[in-house]
Amino acid sequence: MKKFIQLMVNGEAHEVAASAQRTLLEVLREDLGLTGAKEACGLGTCGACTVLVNGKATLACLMLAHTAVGKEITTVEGLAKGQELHPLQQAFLDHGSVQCGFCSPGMIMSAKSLLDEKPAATDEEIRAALAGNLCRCTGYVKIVAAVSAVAEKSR
Amino acid sequence: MRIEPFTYLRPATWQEAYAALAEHAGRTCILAGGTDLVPRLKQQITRPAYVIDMTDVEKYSYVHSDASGLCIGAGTTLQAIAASEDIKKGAPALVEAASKVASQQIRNVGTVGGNLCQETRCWYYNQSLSWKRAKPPCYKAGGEICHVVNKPSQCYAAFQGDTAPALLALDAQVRIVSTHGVRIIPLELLYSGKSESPLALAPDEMVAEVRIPAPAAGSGASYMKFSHRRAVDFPLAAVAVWLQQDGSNGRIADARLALSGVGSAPLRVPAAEEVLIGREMDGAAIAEAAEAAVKAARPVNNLHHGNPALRRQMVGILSRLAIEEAGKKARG
Repeated sequence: MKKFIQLMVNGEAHEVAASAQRTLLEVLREDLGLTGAKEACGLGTCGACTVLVNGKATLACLMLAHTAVGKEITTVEGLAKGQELHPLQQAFLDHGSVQCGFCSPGMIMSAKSLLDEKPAATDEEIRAALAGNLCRCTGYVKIVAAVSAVAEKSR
Repeated sequence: MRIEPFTYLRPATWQEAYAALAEHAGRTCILAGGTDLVPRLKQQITRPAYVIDMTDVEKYSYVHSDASGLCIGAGTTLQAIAASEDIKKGAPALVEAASKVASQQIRNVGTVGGNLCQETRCWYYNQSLSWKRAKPPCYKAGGEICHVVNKPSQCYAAFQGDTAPALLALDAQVRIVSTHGVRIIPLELLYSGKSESPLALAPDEMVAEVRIPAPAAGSGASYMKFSHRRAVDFPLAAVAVWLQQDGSNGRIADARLALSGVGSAPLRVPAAEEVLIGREMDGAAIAEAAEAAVKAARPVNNLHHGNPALRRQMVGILSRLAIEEAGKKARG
């Protein structure tokens, strides 16, 4: 049974028709066209679907869309201010942290969740925060370096 | 992966929550963080008619500390536990265990109640329904035989929770609620020992709170986890130890040791505890206790890369490490 629900995404209210069985990830991608968050494992073990819910890194594939009602959701599409990239996005470009790009939105959202709470996070804290995000291409070194470079500005 | 239809309930209060649970008992699942339930919904392993979403229920997530100890709401996230100053002071081994669960994303929404009540796991059972249709249902899924061990009438799925052994070592209790009242039981009694239905809860009951007694003088605890990766993985073997040292003679006054990942439930190992109590903490005592822990472990070959011999060996090693670490903390 579909029901109209209101979701707050990237500061905007959206009304979508969704049955209780749909996940937040499905609704973001299919109803709202926000395809940054990706479905890879679909079971909570890879982090490709990471978005922020009330500011905290959360797996959208494991959250029912109905549970997300009343919460603030931020996706990678909500980071840039017009043409101005978020420092994390710029750092990923500058450091060669993106190969196929499939893990990148999830990586950036996990990193943002960390740096919002700990702007001067250490490399160890960065690795721990990103431990739930898998990458098959880069070997992680450049990803950590990019996040570290952003954190360095606050260290 | 398609979740099968269910009726979604979102109670605003505790009363509404357990009234709904009573009304639909046996056909309902509780949705807290969802990190254990939703994968099973997606794989169609679990197909409830009703799902009760606890996200709006007040007084589901809290940490209260007083002289008698800690009371932690079952809906408290693992991240909140890991970051809690009260728990760092009153039950640091729980902070250790909660910090090692899965990943940051899962800890941000996963709850301690969910972590304790998680379904038992097996490489065969935790596959999608369509995948499993190649064979008749396994014993846990309502069939007659375990397809992993190839024996009938018993399920061998492993309990792989991180917080349970730490809480067992800390002598925790759980508060269970339903429409007909409240009962407070030692955490050990939450578990049935039967992999096919791991919780000793009536269909209309749910866990509301975890209670930990205030730390005794001269005590310390440690949680050690073995998994192939440093994150994301469930424990293939885990040991939690709590020790109290006698200040006057340096002997172990009291001890608790608990395992996870190597049986149908998290379990205390009285044989290992009896080895330690009254002894000095020397290599011989530690080795004997570790051996007793290994004997209590019952891993079977039902976890990915979870060779049972390796897991038994790791129980021995982790027991030694946990006893040494708990002893260090007990001595301050």
